[in-house]
Parts: sequence; C-alpha cells; structure tokens
Amino acid sequence: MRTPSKYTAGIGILACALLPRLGLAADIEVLLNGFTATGGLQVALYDSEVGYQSEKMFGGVQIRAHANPLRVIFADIPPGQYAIAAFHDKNENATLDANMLGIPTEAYGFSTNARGTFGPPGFEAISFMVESTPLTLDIELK
Amino acid sequence: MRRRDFLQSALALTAVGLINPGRLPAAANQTAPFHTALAEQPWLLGFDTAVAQSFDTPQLTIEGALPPPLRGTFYRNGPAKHVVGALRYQHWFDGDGMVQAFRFSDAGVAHSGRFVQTDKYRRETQAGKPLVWGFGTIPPSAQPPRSPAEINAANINALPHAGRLLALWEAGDAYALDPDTLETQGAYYWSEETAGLPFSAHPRIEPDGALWNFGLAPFRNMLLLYHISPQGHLKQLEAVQLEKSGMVHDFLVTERHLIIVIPPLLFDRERIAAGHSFLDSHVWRPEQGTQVLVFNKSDLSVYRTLELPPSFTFHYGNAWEDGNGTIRFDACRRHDASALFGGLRNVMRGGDFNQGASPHCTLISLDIRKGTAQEDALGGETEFPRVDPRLSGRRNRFVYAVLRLPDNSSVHPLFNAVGRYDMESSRREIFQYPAEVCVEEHIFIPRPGSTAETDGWLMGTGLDIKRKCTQVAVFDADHIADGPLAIARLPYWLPLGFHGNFAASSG
Repeated sequence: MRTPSKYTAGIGILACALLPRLGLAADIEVLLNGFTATGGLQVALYDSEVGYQSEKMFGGVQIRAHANPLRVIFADIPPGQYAIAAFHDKNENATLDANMLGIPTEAYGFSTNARGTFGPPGFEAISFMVESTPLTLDIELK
Repeated sequence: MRRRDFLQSALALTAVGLINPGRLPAAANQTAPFHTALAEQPWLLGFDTAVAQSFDTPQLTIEGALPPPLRGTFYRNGPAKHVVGALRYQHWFDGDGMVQAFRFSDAGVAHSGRFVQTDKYRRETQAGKPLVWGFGTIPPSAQPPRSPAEINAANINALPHAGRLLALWEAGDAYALDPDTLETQGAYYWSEETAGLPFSAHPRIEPDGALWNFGLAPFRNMLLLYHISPQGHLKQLEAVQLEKSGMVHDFLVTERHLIIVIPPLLFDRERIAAGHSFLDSHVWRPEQGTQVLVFNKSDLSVYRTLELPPSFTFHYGNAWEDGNGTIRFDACRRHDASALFGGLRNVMRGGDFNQGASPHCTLISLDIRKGTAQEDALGGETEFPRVDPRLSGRRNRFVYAVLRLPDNSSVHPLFNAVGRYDMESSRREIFQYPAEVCVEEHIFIPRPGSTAETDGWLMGTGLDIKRKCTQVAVFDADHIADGPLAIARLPYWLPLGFHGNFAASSG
C-alpha cells in the first residue's frame, strides 16, 4: 500500500499579512516547472542576502508535486528585495538530497532562473523587487 | 541539511565574483579557418566533425588474413561531434563522444558507431546549439555548468566490464550502453550514493576482473577512490581530502597499492568563477612539483606521499612492485602541460598540432622505503601505452605504444608508428605505418588459451588520409616489425578518437 504523501495538493498559498493592507503589499505568483509528479516541492522566499545565506526564510510553502506547472502564491508581501529558491523533494525527506560532493541529486531552481557554476547563484543574481503590483515568476527546476 | 554544503561552496565562489558568463570573450567561430586549413592539410580530417549521426557497415574490406581465434568486439570512444549548431569547439576534448564497435566474427569484421546520448548531447541536439560551456570552450550565450554532469561528453574511453559497456569521461558519471546495439541506457550509478560523482575514464582492471578507479572533484579538492568487484558491484568508495587539485587523467595499480600522480597543473576556483573555461581554470605551477600519493588497496588509506620534479602525464602503461620496496611504472611524460593549451587547442582551428611539450616514454621508480623517486627516459615520442591486461598491476616486460618517428616524408604531424618497448633491455620493435596513416591507440589482446606475455595480437585504428577512410590493423604482438597480419577498412572516415578495449567472445 502506498504511503500517503506528507504534502498536500492544490495551490500553495502563504498569506503573509504582516502589514495592514494599506496597498503596501503585493502577491507573488510563482509557476514551477520541470519536476515529475512524485513527492513534493519546497519553495522558500528570502528577504535578504543574510537570510538566503543562513537559510532563514521569510516564508516557505510545501506542496504536493502533482502537475506541471504548479502554482504557489506568496500573498501580501511587503515591498522590498526578495529571492526564491525551490527544490523537488522527490523522496519526501524535506531535504535537498546531495551526493558526497554536495551536488544536489534532486531538481532545484531559483527566481530569475539564474544558475551558479558548481554551486548555487548568489542572492543578487536571483533577487527581484516587490512593489505594490502583483508579480508572476516562472521557475524551472533542473 | 546538505544544502548548506552546497550553499557554502557557492558562497566562496560568490565572494570572488561569481558567475558572469559574458565577462570573457565568447568563443569565436572557427569553422571557416578550419576548413581553409583542411583544404591544404588533409590530415585535419581527423578533427572534422562526424558526417553522420550513426554508422553501420556489416562487412569491412579486409586486406591480409585475420587470425581465426581472434573473435570479439573492439570498442572505442572519442569526440566525434566537434560542431554544435553554428559553433565549432575550440578544444579537441570538447566534442561529444561516439562509441565505435569493430566486431570480429566468422563472417568477417563489422562496424557500427553511435553517439553516446548524454544529457548534454540530447539537450543540445534538441536545441540545435550549445547550451553549456565545454571543457575548453565557452560558446556564446551558453551557460556555465551547475555541475560536472551538465558537461559530461562521455568521449574518452569505452570499457566492457561485468557484462556492461561503459562510455567514460573524466569527471562525471559513466554512461551504460547496450554492448550489442550501442544504444545508450543512461548514466550508470554503482549505487545511489555515486550518482553524479566523478568516475575517471581510466579504470584499471586486475587479472581477476576487479576494477579500481578514481574520480577528482577539483572544486572540492576531493579525490574519490572506487573498488568494484569482478561482478560489477561497488565494494568500497572512499573520499580523500587533498591539499591541492591538479589535473589527473590516469592512475596506476599494483598488487597492493594505488598510485595517484598529481601534476602541478592546479585548479584555481577563482578563475572559473571569473568566467574561464574548466581547462583555463588550471594554472601551471612548476614550483609545486609533482605529488605522488600511494594508497593501500586493502583499506584505501594513504600509505606514502612522494615528490617528483614537475611534469605532466596523460597516460601510464602499468605499475608493479619488485618485492624490495620499489614500485616501477612507465609514463608518457611531458615536461609540462603546454600541449593542453597549445596543440590540442590549435588543431581545432587548423593550427599547429605540435605546439607544447611532447610525451616521452619514461620509466619511473619509487623507492617506498627511502621515499625517493627516479625517472629514466627510455627514448622516443610515445603515447597511449598499453600492456597485456593479464599483467595489470603485475610485473610486465613489454609496453606497447604509438610513436611519432622523425620522418621527412611525413604528410601529417600525428603519430606515425606503433612499437613495443622491452623494459628490461630498453630495446624497441617498431612498425612505421605508410606516411598517409594517422595512427591511433593500439591495444594488446591475449590469444585465447595462452599465458605468455608475447602471445597475442596488437590491434589499433588509424585514419588513412589518402583513402579518406578509417582502418583497423591487427599485428602478431611478437612480430610487430613485420607489419599487420590484416587491415580492415571502413568505407568512410571517422574523427580521431582516444581509447578502446576488447571484449573477447565467450565460448
């Protein structure tokens, strides 16, 4: 019998609502592609270089990897510079699995679809600005 | 969480100014200069791109008589797709690998060739253009590699082992191919743990079938050592942290030890971060000398570390221990690595193939007890050394290699002869090919049922630039100077390749 997935299906939504809705927030819609329909996706939103480097998320969404593209919404995000990192948690261990050299063995991707050389890209390369209008980002997991 | 390791390695790169593929000038298109040069220098055909996606000839033309007991398949590999979209690669080592099979049977000799369907090959063929950097080329608008797997061209060696046929590259997964059809089955993992790890193109197989290999991850200063059983199962995998990462292409085994020779061609992370190709991220640092690491096979621990003068070697023939504390091995030793950046790059635009240090047959002795080493030149410009596979890691008397003999009538700058070195008397027996044949690696094949080191055949390919065809020649290994017993010719030419191995027919 198949073990039930730890991930829930549907649209992943993280409602931030940290600020009163004074028009100083916007939704970030993320469309994720490039994964197979097994396990889940982990999507992390970072609001600073320090947060990205220390893996302290501003917000995160976990969702079942049921079909490409998969839609995730970070709602009511205050203006600022952000970056998104996502990976396909194929075996549902909540970890980006890597080989003994630290090279990921599960698909991953970043906002702006920037790539690193033998490692992930830096914050600047993957960051984007949130102002008061909604954004849509495509992220290809590889 | 392992992601932290990955992030930390990237942060080190970020700190030195990571990721700007556009920073250095991208590869200029070399197609026109190459074809201009080819019109005047027919030998450059060997560096042209393959004219077809696959090759099949059921019956080759044979001159001479093939020895009846010679039955089996000679597999070879080499870069064959040198042009992707509008781009001609700038280095011989960049091209996508094509595996060839020369099948010797009662019906004669058949040939087939197939590109290894690596992830890189499939994606770039579909896109019709290069997508990632190569070993020595940064194509315009292509992206830097996220991992070695993305630039794995599987273009160096073809190795039958434990019923599998593996297409091997230097720094990524082996690719498994169907030994009968050459169709690619996919990246081959010895275990889940080995996915994406470097597995070099020069494994050593012992007489009992046990396979040893290494893999080098220069961006981590990490050396991996593999021990695989004769049945093809991973017995041990060891990761060794190195002080420095040089370019290591081949290694050696003896009955008790593994030997890794690290030349002072050192990987500099800052250079790849600044937008240089993988090759150009290596820097020659002769003051650092050549480091020799000797490992115990029993547990893959470090046994001894020795120093040699600076040198660079692509290939070794064989190593053995004399029982008195000395390890001996032969090397095609170059006094530096300049050929990698010179001739092997120039040739792709039709330039000087011989720019850079040439390889010379050298016997190296390591006195393990005293910690000293000695290098003795045996004479001759040689490459692609091979020995009787029954003596892998055991005392061998003979080494077979291709040679470049000085010849005023030569119509090409490539290897023009094949020879056998007697390591005990330093005598050489040589056959010089006709001037129009560019000679590729020759391997020793034992005669079935025999035991003597001299009892077998030497088999090797060459490109005949007059006939515009690739050939495979078979010699009696004990009478090389008499010339080939037989030559089988293809009705077409193939780009020059690197390494191959023979799988004898069972029964």
